[in-house]
Amino acid sequence: MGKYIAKRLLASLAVMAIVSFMAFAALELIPGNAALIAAGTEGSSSSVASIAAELGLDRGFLDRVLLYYKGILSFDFGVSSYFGESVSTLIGQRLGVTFSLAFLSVMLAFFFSVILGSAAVLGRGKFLDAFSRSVVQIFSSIPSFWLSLLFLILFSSVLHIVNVGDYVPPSVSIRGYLSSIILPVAVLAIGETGPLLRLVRTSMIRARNEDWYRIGKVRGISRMRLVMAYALRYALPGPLTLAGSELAKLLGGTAIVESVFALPGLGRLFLTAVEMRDIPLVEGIVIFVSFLVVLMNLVTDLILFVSNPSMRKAGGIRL
Amino acid sequence: MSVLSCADVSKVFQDNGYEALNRVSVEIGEGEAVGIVGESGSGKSTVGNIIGGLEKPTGGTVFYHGTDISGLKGEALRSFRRSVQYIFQDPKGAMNPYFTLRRVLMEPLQINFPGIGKREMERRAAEIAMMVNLPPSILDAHPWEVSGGEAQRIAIARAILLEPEVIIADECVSALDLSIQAEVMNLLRRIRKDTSASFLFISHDLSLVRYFCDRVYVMRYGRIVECLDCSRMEEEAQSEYTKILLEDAYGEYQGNSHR
Repeated sequence: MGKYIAKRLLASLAVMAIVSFMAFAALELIPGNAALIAAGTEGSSSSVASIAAELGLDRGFLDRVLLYYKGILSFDFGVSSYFGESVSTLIGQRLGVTFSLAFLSVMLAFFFSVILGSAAVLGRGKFLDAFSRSVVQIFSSIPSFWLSLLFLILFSSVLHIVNVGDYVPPSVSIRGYLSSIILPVAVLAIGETGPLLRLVRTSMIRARNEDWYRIGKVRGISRMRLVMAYALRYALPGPLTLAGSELAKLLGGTAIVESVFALPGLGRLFLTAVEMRDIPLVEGIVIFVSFLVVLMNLVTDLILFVSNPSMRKAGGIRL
Repeated sequence: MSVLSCADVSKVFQDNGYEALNRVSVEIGEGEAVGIVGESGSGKSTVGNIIGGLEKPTGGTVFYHGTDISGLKGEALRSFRRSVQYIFQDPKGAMNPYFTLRRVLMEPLQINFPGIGKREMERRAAEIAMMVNLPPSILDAHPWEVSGGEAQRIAIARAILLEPEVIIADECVSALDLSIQAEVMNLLRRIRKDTSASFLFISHDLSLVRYFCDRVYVMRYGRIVECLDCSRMEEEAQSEYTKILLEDAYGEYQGNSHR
């Protein structure tokens, strides 16, 4: 177990190093630079040169890469050129919103998918299966911006159930917090439920067709036990992996929903950063999000590792 | 009276309308080993599935000690399921891959005797493993870690653990290579001698059936062609099909009447 974790951590570090280098190099390739932008339209070539020297842009590529990595290692992503604040502070401020949205919506989608998917496949009636294959899939195919607008109109303008527009942190008021994020969470959860539910359903069908499941009943195993100890345990790793990567994906990009609901999240921050050519901020967010993705994958793999005897015995997925 | 029997059982698969069985009647007497032989698609496995309650027939009745099993409920149903155990062709497929072999063997006890202690279950698991010639140390492995022969012996152990009245063995050695086949067949013979269990032995291999059974039903196209005494097969065989099977199993030169 320890060896497996160590191996995975090393591999994650390598991924992080490559991603951060790519972020740096890609921005390097874009024409223009921070000194040009900072000097503004009126700036002379000498003022551009002096700003470049001040920012360290006159140094060689390798020098700057090393400086960049030194900063990353001390969690110093520099200062945002647009906001004038430190990148880490900016990310820290926005993280709560995005994390709430991503985590709650994936959780919701996962539980809903598992319960509905299992009931649809293993239950006696056909109604649930038809429902999970039609209504749910249709809803989750609706683009999130449009669903967001529908929800806004219905719950805010028509029914006046929730207030939209002011994000309330949970530290201020739990009620206000829930009311400010419930609609975007619902929109994201509906989108996530589609693929998750489909995967739960097919995994459950596979479980149902396995000999050990089919004969479980004649061996006198109760239905409850068959579902819990047999089918779910067999069917969950796939959906769990998907939920992990969806969570990582959402952490990096709920920009559309954040924009529609005017929530101060990471996605919107990133959009602004790109628009404003705020290179330190773009780099900071890319690195931070890739770190989250790597972390999520690591956590997912560890859960799979612990829950699956064949992986445990083989010492984990081969890297 | 027979322990387990079916009368005029038919099976039509709903999704494609395929008629797998047409008015099949099979009887298994107390302590008797009954074989079903036939080519694949002849419906022999379907008979096994229906007679043990795995599948429901579309016509006809299955009797357990003279009682229609479709009406069994509660304790009577549990007792029926305890009394009829299966051994399948793919032993690994028949075991939960997340369980160790010890848990595979403990589970039937746990389900059927809820009050039983963990120690006692482990002791019984080790004991039954020895009975099928496996070292207790193998019980720490998972089904996918052991060989096909070992897994099949665990499956047999699981089947005899609850001291059933009938064991339905469906192609239980077909997936094993010849030397292991012989081992498993000898083990089954020994179990037959040591316990009073009846067997329904389903196989495409007439020589295996003959080695193990008292009586054999020959099946083709979902019907029973004939039922023969295993010791007097050549003499009793009427249908051409059975004669072909005999020829295939024992070679032409041995002919119909002398073996």
